[in-house]
Parts: sequence; C-alpha cells; structure tokens
Amino acid sequence: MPVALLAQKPIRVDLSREKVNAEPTKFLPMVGSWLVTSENGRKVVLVDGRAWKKGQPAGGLADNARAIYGARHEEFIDNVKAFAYFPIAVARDVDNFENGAISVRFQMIGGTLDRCAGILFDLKPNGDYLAVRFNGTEDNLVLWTFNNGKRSFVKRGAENVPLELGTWHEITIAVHGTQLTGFLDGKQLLDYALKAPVSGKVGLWSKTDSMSEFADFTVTPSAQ
Amino acid sequence: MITRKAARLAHLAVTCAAFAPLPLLGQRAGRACTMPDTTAAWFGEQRQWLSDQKHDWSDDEFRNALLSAAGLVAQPLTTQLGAQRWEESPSAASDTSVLSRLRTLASTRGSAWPTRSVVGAAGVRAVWILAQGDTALQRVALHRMMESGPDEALPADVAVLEDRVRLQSGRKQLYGSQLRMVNGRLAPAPIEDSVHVDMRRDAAGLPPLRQAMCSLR
Repeated sequence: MPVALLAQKPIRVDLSREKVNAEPTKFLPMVGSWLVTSENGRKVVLVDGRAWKKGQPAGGLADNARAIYGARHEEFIDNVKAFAYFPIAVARDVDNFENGAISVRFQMIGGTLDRCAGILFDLKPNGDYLAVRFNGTEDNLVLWTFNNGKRSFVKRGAENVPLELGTWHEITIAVHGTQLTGFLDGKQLLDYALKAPVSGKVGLWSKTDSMSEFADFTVTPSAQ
Repeated sequence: MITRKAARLAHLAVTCAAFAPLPLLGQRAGRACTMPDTTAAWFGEQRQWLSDQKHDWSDDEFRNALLSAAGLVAQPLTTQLGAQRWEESPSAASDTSVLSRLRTLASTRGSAWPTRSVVGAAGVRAVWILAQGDTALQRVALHRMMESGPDEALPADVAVLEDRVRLQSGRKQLYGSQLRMVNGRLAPAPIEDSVHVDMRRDAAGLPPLRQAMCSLR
C-alpha cells in the first residue's frame, strides 16, 4: 500500500447514514444507475448495469452537475451526455484531488458485456477525466483517458489477475506530480508518467452493464 | 447441406432453449416447480430481439449458409431459458466450409463478424449453435458476441456460451445454465458467486434459475 510523504488526514466516504435502495448522496450519479445497498449488514454502493442504456445519463445529472460545478455545469452535462457509455458517480465531499492516494474496495457481481470497477479522477468541468479500472472480463487493471467524449487506452497493468465474482478486492492509485501508480490488492501493477499533473474531482467508475459494489472509498491527500 | 449432426445440434438447441407452456414433466406432487413467466420483461424482450420480421440484415447468402449448417432452416427461433444439460454437449457440425469461414473471421482482427445486422437474429443463433460444438471457435465467438453488444448478439445466448467456455476451461460458471445429473437429479454445475446468480441472469435477460430448471424437468 503506498504511503504518501506529508500525508494529510484521509477522507473516507462514510455510507452509514445513506438510505438503502436509494441513490447515494455521498456519490453523485452522473451516468448509470447507482444505489446504496446492504451487503451483510454493511452499506455499500451498487452500480446496477441492468438499468444501463447506451447514451442515457443518470436521472439526476442536471442537479448533480449543478451541485459540483455550479455555473459551469452546462458544459459538463453536454459532454457527459455525448458519451453516456461509462457509468460514473462523483464523490461529493472531495473538492479537488491533486496528490496522494485514492483507494476503493469493490466486488464484481455480474454483467454480460463488461464486469468493471474503477476509480475516476482528474474530472474536469468539461467532463474530461482519467480512470484506473479492473475489468473482470479481461482480468486486467488499465489506465484510460477520456477527452472530449473519446476514450483512449493508456496503459495496461503488468500482469493479468483473474478475480472471482462475489469476492472483495481493492484498487489503489497513488499520484505524485505526474507520476501515477496503480495497485490491485496491494500489488503494484501500473506505473505511468502522466502528461500533466492531476487536478479535479474523483469518484467511482464503471462500464456499460457491469454490476459492481463499492465500499471504503478513501482519499488521502498529500503535499507533492 | 444439412447433416445428421447439424440436425442434432438444432434439436439440442430447441430442447435446451425452447419454452413450451405445457404441463410439467416429472414434477413431484406437492413440490413447487414454477415455470418461466411468459409475462415477464425478459420474455418479451427476447421475443422482440429474436423476431427477424422486425430487422434487416445485409448478408443473405452467409445467413442461409449458417442456418443450413446449424440445422435451423424452417425452425422457429426459441426463447433462451439458460438451462442446458452439460452432458449433451454438441459435437461439431459437419459442414466444414461454414465452420472454416467462421474460424477465419474469428482469427482476422477487424473482420465483419456475423452479427444481427449482418445475418439477422436466426443467423446469430446459428453461429451460437455452431460455436458450441467447436471448442476452438467458441472462445473467440464469445468475445466477438460480447464486443458486438446487446443489439447485435442476444445477451441470453452470450451468457450461456460464457458458462460453457468457463466450465470447459476449468472455471465455475456464472449463470448456472449448465446442468449435470447428480444422484439422479439435475443440478447446476458449480457456480461462481452463486448468491448473485439470479441477478446476473436477470441482467442477461434470463429467467430465474429455479424456473429455468423447472422447464427441463
């Protein structure tokens, strides 16, 4: 697990006061169907790909975009609508992430096309972002960029790791300046030099009809 | 040319996938066995998807060759229930020219895979049947069907094919579609994350596993 130098107090997204079977309030759904559900008595966030439809943003997109970007929300909405293919939900209480670590526990449940779970970061007001995700249909951890509605492959993890559905795992990313590292269950699989320093909102990422659960989303900012 | 093997493949597909709202066979008195609900959304969506009268396709010649090889000529397309007997794994079709063409397409990146817009729903079902009898082809066919998306490949068929591929490679199945005889009773082969199996089946447009198994009894 990466430990950042000069680490500040971690921000752990607490789901304990969320309503089961309702949209999460700590993560603002922009694309896809996101619900709070109970897993062995513990509240987790479920992205439910059964409700996924190509090109369809989340019902609350306009309100949620306004909540995080204020007057600039219209540009964000236009771009998100243009490629509403990847469900995303933005962590409400993390204003800006630049350096440090982000981790999330996840379990894949299903999906006919894809079985994905990932961390969204560097989300800009125009809808551009980066994502490090695990895909259970490919068994790999991959860094993707999304610019002007176009997804581009950046780098694949050093090795494939088959994970069983219904078992919990952890993705962690660490960012120091332009240096990005990605971990799966504590094992470093990604190492990449980004073109520009990271600065933006963060959250959860999924793909098409994936059904995945997320818990313990934690952001640990650090001075570079 | 329709061969005996191809006809057997077609028969198997019908046996595995057909839904006939008939009295239950072999149902024990007093034991609950609920047949798949034909008023449910999955049923209507599958029927809609499988109706070739509502869709066009671009390659009639390839479609006809596929239907012939799979023994689907003049056969109505049946609803996929997601319950097959694993022991009755189909053998390869004898029409090697169609299989060769599929193998070539599978090994050529960027080639036009026979999806619904190319060969229609019946053509895609034929590919699904043929792939099941060819272990070399089925893994690639599965990936091509997954990549092509739910408009071009029936998610319920994709799910069943994925279960077969996983079991053949020694992994547990995901949708519980492959059933084995255990102590004289049909039971699903081992399922990964069995707690969520019906959620996955729902996502793939399949009825609950218990209902699907009921249809085979």
